[in-house]
Amino acid sequence: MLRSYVVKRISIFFITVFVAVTINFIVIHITPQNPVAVLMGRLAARGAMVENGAQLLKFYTERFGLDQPLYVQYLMYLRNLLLHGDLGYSLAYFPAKVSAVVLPAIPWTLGLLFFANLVAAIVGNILGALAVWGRAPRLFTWVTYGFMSLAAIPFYLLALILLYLFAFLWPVLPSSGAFTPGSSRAFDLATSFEFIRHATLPVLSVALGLIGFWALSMRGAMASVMGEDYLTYARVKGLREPTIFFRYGMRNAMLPQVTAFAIDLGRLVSGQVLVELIFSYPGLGLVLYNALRTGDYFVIQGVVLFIIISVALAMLLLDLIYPLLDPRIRTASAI
Amino acid sequence: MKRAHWFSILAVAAASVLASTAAQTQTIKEVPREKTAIFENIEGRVAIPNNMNPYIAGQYLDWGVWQGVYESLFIFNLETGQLMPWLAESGTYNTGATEVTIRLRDGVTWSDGVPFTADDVVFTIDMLKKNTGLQYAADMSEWVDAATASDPHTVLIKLKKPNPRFLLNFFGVRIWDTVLIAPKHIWEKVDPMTFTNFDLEKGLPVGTGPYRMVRSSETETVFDRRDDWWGAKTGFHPLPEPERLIWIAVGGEDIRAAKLANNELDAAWVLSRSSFEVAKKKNPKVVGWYEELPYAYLDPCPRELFFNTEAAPFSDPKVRRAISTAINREQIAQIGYEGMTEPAESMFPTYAPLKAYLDRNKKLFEEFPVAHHDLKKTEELMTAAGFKKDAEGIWVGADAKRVSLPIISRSGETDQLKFGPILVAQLKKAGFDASFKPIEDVTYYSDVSSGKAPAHLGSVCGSVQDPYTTFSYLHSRWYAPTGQPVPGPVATRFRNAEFDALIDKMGGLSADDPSFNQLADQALAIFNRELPVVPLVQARLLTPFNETYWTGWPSAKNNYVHPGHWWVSGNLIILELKPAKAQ
Repeated sequence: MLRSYVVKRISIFFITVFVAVTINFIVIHITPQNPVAVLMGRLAARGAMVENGAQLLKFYTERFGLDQPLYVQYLMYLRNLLLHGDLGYSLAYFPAKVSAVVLPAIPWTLGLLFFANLVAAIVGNILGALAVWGRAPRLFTWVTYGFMSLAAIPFYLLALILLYLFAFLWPVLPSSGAFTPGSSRAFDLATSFEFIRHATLPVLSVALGLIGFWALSMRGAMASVMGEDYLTYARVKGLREPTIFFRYGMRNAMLPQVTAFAIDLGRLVSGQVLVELIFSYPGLGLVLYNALRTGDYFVIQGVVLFIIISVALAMLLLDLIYPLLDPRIRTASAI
Repeated sequence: MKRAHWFSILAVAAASVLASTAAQTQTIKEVPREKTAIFENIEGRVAIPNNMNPYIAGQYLDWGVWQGVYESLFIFNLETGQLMPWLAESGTYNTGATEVTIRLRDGVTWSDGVPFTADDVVFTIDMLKKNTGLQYAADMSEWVDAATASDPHTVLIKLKKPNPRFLLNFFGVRIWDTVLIAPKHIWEKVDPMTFTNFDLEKGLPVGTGPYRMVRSSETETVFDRRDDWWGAKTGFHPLPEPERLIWIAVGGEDIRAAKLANNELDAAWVLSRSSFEVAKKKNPKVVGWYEELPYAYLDPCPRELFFNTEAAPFSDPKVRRAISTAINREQIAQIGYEGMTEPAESMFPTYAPLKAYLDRNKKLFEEFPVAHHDLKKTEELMTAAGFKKDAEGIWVGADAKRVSLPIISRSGETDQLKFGPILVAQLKKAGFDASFKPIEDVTYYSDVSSGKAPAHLGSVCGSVQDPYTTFSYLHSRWYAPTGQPVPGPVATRFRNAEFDALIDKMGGLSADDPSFNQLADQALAIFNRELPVVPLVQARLLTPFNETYWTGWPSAKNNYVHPGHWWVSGNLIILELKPAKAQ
């Protein structure tokens, strides 16, 4: 029975990805813009002599298959993707491949997403749990309210505020980039420290906006756990308060948080784009922004494909992990 | 799962992320800040950090490769109006401008030590002609019949038709970039369409400039000085002072101002007046071209309102001239540009030779007052064109339809975003149903090129010395019917046989030719009468420099070159920098 659960979840994953990829392709290609004309326009706008521009137009239109019917372009795209893992060439930066544009940016986006969510999850969940824990000081409740207010502020606005405060008014942190310009970047502690310094403001821009969300939902989940018999039993057994709080209280309240994280992943990735732009962080945000501006269909497809697969994969993994985390689901599946 | 296992999983994940990011960076030696000059990458980001091929269409290597690694045969200096020989020693035309002889400078070498010779120039031209997808390929095919090397330092180029501007337009950094010469010994072995020209260990990209690339990432490119630069060895020019040059991605104007104030930038992209004054207040070492207003430098690309001259009612010159006289350019300059620029009455930047041309034709401007704000004239012209005002004061045609004037601009042009609404307010007051919409590049260029947009804001980067180049953009050879993309730089779809004939004749004459002026004056008369493009304001760019670490930046008082540090001619600026603390 557990096997059928796994097979079903994996099948849903593949169907979801296929449908999303198809919609992604169609939506981008039915826009009336001509990306090759964009290239010509950019050349002309910079004073380039564009003699016989028609020759360039024709060359690139044919080279990218844009003169083919839409269904032919779709089938070619699927064939290259499924058989060769080939996302095609970048329209704006030909002959660079889409993978060459997108792949280097992924670790930066994942890193920012990972650390921002880690900070937000740890701080938010603990704060939310403490907000309803009878033995915790009332201060934690007020701090939680403060973070809930920050949750209403968009990430990019938080980014601008933090930038103004810590990079301009009191310049203690760098304003952009992933490293100090010209630094050695040897794989050593100094580089790690530099990396952390530069990541601080981008991570905080996302984390501060998320802590309130984690705290609020954890507070609700924790409140539902508070009256459970096993907590009373744990106290009767004489376990220490922190042990009861973390191992019996928070652990049981965490399960819905895991699902909420997966659902929110898509929103997080899209919200992070602007943060990466503001801080010139070399992640997918900058890639997607430039691709949208230049009408680079294939790079846009590549970035959105990555987002689709990431979110779908995250939900699949969580679906598969859930029975391991919660024995009740494992038992229900077996019945 | 035990806590220890969770922590170890997290630690491995974090280390993997760190390792993969560190793997993408290149380890280099540290150079002190006071020996480093930091520039802003005006593109915002290096799209493909491992591709330095300068011939790919649309690839702008203005993040240091143009300025530090490569050098041009000639450099047009906007300040002096002279075409300075650089890698070349001279360039001469025969009578009739059908042949060009370039004499190369002795002692020039590539960064790998191989001599720079006429064979490299000939090879580059032939390579461009053979590969139709490369930038400048169509230009070389259009103009060059044959290029030969008569000796290692002499190139003879036979042109298919007269072109006295051949060197200026293609090898002289007229505006921004130029045809860069490829090292034949490297490029003859590769496919120029797919060659990345990037391998730091092998010293690629190879150029003749005083710097070599040592790091390239999306947000940073780093170049270290080559002490074996040919210029210093031959006595042509001393080595540049900065030991290291860095180009960085900056983001928006706020961050630009913050970085200047915090001495994290030495040369920046454009700032508005208010941002510049804020940065300068925090850091008095931040300077503009002028010490006082307008601070900004005159850019060669004036701002204009373009029409699709096939789209009614803008197909009628009277309507276009009526719109022109409805515009108060002084107000746009004061409000939209915070007083930093001035009205434009033509498509030309008012550099000395072009200003002289316009001054010579003052009577034309009296007959057709292009930049004169006169609502009565607007009324007169619109009435003569067959329009009248409805009950709400909006112009309507014989079909009772309102004259709708939707204007688009590219959303990245911050100055146009500021003055667009002002322009619309003025046009509405004059009775036009005007609107303004900034849109992203891809939609903007598509709509402009296809003619879907009946009117758009933009600029023309053309003439810098004489009116031919800008006027040539209005030649009907660039015409394409509405709905098809225009293959040229200006999408007005303007067609005038008389104008075409004048441009064709001007193209074969240098500005020194006695008959050139007469042709140019006639062309201006047609332009002012037809007005396919409405001039608005001169473009002034406030590109600030920071004198905390380096002095010698170009300015109105020290105008050895214009301040475009992102141009191929940016090398001239780098060569003049002096450490601030040494003074």
